[in-house]
Amino acid sequence: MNTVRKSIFPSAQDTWESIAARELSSSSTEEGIANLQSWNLHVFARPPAPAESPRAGNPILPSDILFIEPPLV
Amino acid sequence: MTDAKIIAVKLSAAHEGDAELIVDIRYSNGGVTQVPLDRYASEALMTACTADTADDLIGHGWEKVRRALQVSYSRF
Amino acid sequence: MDLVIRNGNIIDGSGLPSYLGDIAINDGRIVKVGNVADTGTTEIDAQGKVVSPGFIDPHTHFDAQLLWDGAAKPAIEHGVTTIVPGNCSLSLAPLKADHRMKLVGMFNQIEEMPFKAFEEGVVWDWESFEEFITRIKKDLTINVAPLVGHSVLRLWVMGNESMHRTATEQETQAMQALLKECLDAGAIGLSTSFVDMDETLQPVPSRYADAAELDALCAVLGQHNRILQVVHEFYDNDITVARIDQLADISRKHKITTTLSPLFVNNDNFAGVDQAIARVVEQNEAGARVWPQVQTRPIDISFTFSVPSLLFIRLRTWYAVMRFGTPETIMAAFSDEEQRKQLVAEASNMMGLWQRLILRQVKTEANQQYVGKNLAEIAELRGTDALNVMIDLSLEEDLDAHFLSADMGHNNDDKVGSLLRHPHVMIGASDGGAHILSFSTYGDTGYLFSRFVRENHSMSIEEAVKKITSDTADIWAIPQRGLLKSGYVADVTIFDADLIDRGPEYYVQDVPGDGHRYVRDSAGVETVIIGGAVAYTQQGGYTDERRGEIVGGRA
Repeated sequence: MNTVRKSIFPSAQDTWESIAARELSSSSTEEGIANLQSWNLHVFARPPAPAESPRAGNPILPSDILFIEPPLV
Repeated sequence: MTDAKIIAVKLSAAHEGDAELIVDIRYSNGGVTQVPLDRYASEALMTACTADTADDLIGHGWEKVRRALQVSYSRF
Repeated sequence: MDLVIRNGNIIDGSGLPSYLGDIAINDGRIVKVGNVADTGTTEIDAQGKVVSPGFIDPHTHFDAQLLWDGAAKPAIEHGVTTIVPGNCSLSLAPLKADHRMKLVGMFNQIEEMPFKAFEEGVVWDWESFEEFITRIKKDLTINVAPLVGHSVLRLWVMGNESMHRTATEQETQAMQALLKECLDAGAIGLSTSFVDMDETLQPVPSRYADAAELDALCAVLGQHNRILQVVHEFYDNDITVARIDQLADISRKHKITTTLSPLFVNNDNFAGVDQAIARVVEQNEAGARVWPQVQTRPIDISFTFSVPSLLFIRLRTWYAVMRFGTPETIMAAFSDEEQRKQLVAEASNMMGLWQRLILRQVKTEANQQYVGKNLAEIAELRGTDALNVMIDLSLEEDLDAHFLSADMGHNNDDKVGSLLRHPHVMIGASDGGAHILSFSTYGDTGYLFSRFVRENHSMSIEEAVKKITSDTADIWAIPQRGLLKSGYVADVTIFDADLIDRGPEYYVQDVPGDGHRYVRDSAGVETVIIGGAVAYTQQGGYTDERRGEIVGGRA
């Protein structure tokens, strides 16, 4: 198979922090989060979960695909 | 810290029959992604970048796109 | 013989060259193809016309319409004899009474089906999938291969929690049992969505499922040899490729067919769609069954000046007027001589675009005469130019003049044509019955023949027929349809190869509750036969025949 951009399926409890810590452990958490967010802008293209939701403040959905590297050249 | 930037903007037709803005973002490794923005997100991005026309968006950082998406969808 | 079609150019759906012949039909089945000596109770002279299997539309949202219109008009007059509703995680069953308004909200948000249509057009007399099937079968002209929606399964099992969290093991098992029940009742497969929003603009329930839940449901599909349909993040090429990989893994693991829709051609990024198709080929050659659906029609953009359109985002003055303006200030800018001069000057180098704009809707009686015309035509009638006509009409209509810019996306004929012909691509994604207040989702089959067979020569007519008949039937495991073959169900479309097309788009009031929608008539489709009975003729319109069936998958 040809190489494609690396991605993961998040677990139900995953946050930017937990994914950064797990998948980008060589970076600082802050840098890892910034990188993850810049590679996954599609996650921001949806309304935030309401305050009463168990997901409030976490835009990541269990059905998402999240990239853990930038687009391939 | 990532220094991804907007390198191109294009007008496109969204599936639902509206015009949408496609923003090309280039990352430090040279890889490019395309982010579609509806009119609300586009307006938020234009405001954030003090842009008068879509071409003024070129050169601005990815964080403004993220913020524009957040602002756009926070209206609900 | 009940019916004999004589002297047609038979294109049997196999992709083989056409030939001159007759078709005999008895008891709803094709009994002979070739030379038919027997006389039919009804005889149809098809000389000079193509006789093909009925077309199959694999991506529709006719779910609600089937409750008041068992013909799914105008699908049949475009040659379509079988539709697949229930796509994108949304079906109307199974559905508990408590969740009806929730689902109506989702259909309203995602498919633009008005609330009033449900209020006035629907008698809610079902809950289970089987009861829904029984309900729509009562008055069915078209064949229906219904998907069951993942969001609906979640809603049934988890209630409002389906819109907040992943399922427990027990809930997943309950969904598996419910899916099995639906498949046994006639569902052709399961649909899910990774992109849709509900009426509160929150993700639909299927998006709260994790990969394990989807996998568990696909295990049930595997036991029944049924298909999985997904609507994916089609706006992002890398995600599309990742979804292709996900579907390929599911397909190989459970030995099922999967399909994702829609796949568009982005004119600024041909490499993107090439990469997606290359990945499909790679995965399918490794044993998967992943079928991207590509629609035939281009995407149009519609706008009024009462809502700022990004169509003007590169025109500094125009965009400033629209972005910061109120209706009053926009009208004032259009009326002010100096400002108008400036606007016209800025946009005049794009006169080709303005000339091609079509006036879709107006509210004044005086301007009704121009509806359906392009601005170049209206300008000629008014003795001015297209740009000024656009401004004048907007002023006369208090900004409520609706314009349409046709063919703005997915419109590179060579690229789209090569995709439609591609052996790993399914022609589909029409969205029939959806987006009814925005644009017409009907006539994609006519457009396939007019644009990609006749004008652009992207494929032969035999290839085009195969693509939307036997290929679709094979992919979806629809038994005994899609070919003109002895023993097969007699779903037949007779059309003029030189004339078949989609007609112009127009707005019509034919939705329950005085609702409107955009539709297109067909051209060149002469007769449509469903289950051996004539369901539609170009001259006589729809008949009273009701031979439509629920077409479940092949086990």
